[in-house]
Amino acid sequence: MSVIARSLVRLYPDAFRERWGAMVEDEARGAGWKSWPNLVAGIADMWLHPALWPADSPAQRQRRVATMGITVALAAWFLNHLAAEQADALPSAITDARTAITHGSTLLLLLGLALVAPRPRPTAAAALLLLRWALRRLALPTAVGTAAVLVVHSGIDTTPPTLRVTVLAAWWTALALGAIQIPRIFTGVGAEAVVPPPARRLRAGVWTLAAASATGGAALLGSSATDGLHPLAATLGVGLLLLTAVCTGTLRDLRELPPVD
Amino acid sequence: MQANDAQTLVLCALADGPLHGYAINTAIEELTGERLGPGSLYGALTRLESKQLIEPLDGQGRQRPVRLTPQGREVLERELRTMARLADAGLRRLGVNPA
Repeated sequence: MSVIARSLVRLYPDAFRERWGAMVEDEARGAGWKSWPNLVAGIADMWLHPALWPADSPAQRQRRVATMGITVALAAWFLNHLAAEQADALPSAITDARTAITHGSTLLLLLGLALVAPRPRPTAAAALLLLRWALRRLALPTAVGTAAVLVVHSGIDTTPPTLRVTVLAAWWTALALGAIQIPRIFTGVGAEAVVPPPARRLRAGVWTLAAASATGGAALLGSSATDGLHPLAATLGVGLLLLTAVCTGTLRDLRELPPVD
Repeated sequence: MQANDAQTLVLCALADGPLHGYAINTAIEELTGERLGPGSLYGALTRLESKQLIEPLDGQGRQRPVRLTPQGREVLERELRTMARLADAGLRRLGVNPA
């Protein structure tokens, strides 16, 4: 039983675990299996609120919020891209809404990303560190994506279903891996190479990302509802609205934290 | 915050002085008859620390005590006064004498 409690505690963010991990484990072990659902809810709660994690400085909290913003932007882009690429499988109303989703939501996502993204320090050492981490994190998704593109453009017959599914799976896996790894570049390099945006810009960025994901999610859900419930569009729409909820939660956290500037 | 809010309960438990996590939950159990789950308890501690309402002290072994900050004491007092006023008004409307 203690093995399960310890394994669950390992799922908390590092900063939380370093501060409270041993005590959470003792409490969970004492309370037994009945505490596990509460522990799982606590883990999810902490991952959704990076602004609250124990920090050495306000700048560290801002860096975490910036990383969360990048993660949300990439996840929203991935879902939007999936909706756009699967347009043939979606009802016509969704196809019509695609242009609006792609243009409006993507513009807002880009603006939000520009606002929340940490700035590289203007030194050669910082640039080298960023480059090293980018190579390390993006090597695998780049290799997988490149392989998929090469197969498609090499003249190999991709009509056999197995090969077609494999190439498609490789392409989407590469995109998903890239979306996961880009925020990890910023967590990897830390304060040595990047500085978080000022508090006001960060808040404006998170607001923009919330608006972008809400717009995309509402458009997909609305189109899905008007043309009969379409499971794929509804799932993508709900996913985008969940990202909006993450942003609004972060904005509430930022409002409750002591002011930075 | 509300009377049964985990953050208010933790602040109340710390009103007497610094305690570590297990002792905080024992104090909450004495107040309410139930212990908080580990996710709720340490989630509340994390939130209170981020708002600078509590601060950690040097630990003893695996346990690390925390205490109220002056701001935390102020917030707790304000919350409890609000709750007391509300309880008083509610009991009067029910025709019950406040204890």
